[in-house]
Amino acid sequence: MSRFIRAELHNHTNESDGSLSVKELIDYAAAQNFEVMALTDHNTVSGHLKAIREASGRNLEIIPGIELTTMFGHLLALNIGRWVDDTMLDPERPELYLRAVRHAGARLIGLAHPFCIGEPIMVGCRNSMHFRYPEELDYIEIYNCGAGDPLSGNMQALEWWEELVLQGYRIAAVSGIDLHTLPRNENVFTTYAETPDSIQVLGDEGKDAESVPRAELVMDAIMKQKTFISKGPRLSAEWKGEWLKVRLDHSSGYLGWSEEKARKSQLLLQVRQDTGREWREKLTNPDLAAVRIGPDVSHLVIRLYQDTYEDSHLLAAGVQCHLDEEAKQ
Amino acid sequence: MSGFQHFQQSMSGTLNRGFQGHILYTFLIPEEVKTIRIAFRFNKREWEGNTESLRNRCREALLQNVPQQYVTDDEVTAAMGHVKGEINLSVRYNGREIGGMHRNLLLKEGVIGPDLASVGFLPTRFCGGILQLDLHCLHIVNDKTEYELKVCGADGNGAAL
Repeated sequence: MSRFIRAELHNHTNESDGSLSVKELIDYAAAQNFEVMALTDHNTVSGHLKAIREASGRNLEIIPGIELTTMFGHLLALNIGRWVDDTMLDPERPELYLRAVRHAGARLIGLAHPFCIGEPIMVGCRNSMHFRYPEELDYIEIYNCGAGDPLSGNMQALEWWEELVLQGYRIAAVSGIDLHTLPRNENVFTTYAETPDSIQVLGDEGKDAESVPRAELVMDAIMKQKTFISKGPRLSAEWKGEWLKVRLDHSSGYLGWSEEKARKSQLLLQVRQDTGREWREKLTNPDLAAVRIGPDVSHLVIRLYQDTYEDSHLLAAGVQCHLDEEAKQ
Repeated sequence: MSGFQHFQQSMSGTLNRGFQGHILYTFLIPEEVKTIRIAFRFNKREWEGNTESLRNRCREALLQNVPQQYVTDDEVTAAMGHVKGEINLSVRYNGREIGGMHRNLLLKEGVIGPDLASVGFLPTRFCGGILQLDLHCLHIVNDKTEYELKVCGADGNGAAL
């Protein structure tokens, strides 16, 4: 059985260019049922302690983070306690900077809004770093809800991430509300982290996941590429032998999603494979889909649509599967 | 500036359109300084050049994100509204990051002391040493863009300011 945790991993306050105070952001996050929230102000960590204090006693856990706002793109670093000087960042060799960010304590590094509009409209927002080693990124924000279309470039980000995954790179996918003020449009993707019931710790017999802080579980899920973006349905994919099973959970309540809504919708599954093939199917069972996968496939990515395969009808994306040796047996 | 007489420095400069880079100021601060006040301002944030050339550049940028390869004049005009000069600031004390000023304002100000700090900064116990200010010049949209940086120190909490 899978457990899902809702995480919002890209948020700002007036500690940088947001308009909300830390308290106002935490109030909003709690009211909106974020379970885990990363505070990622631009180039400062001054809100971390305030956020942790404000969230204390609420059903909300904080990941201290930062949006490293460079001239060549924005990087999100999670579980970090300081800004990392980017004045020597070479966009042709960003891996050197990424290592400095990890050296500064970052547990995870993600790329924010890689295809956001760039010069001269929003200078520095569009990624122009050349990642020769894409695996040095733990995650990519495939859907940023801050700028809106056509400024956001979200579909390009999703397609780029899928191409990387189909090449075998293990990079998680997340969304980012990129909250700077109270949103006018709340009909946006959120991120779910899929976590197991128990967590295996080296030298330990395994911990009940309920006893592990949710912020830790979310970061663990990113590291294991067990995150996806959704407007309600929660997906869990298992690939064994020649069968891919996709289970759909409709109980999140996010944006009013429900079993009833799922049954009234025509759910459409799309599976892209590294062989170049694409499998599309109307789901007759809204809770489960089984797809036969050819023996030549090693990596695949999954999207879920509602009623039509149009970008505006995308319900969920970012689920990935890799055929490892264990799964082959 | 009544509380901040112990250390008063003022720097200024002029930047031209297209400059992108970092400008680093390094100071030795006296031991008696316990609270620092930083004020940074620049001008000419709004585009003052040829509107038609900006319109063309904005249209080209938008076309990179529009699959159907068509953008309306209204979309271009809306995008032009985002174009602005941007200079932000990071501050380090004795090699440690103590915060920054990253907001869309022509005048950015902050006070840092041991017990309190303006938004964007961590409270910091100063006891002499090196203060570094990085100006991150992300976008300079006009020639002869002028900036001014003022750094002042007080021996108390600067409450007299």
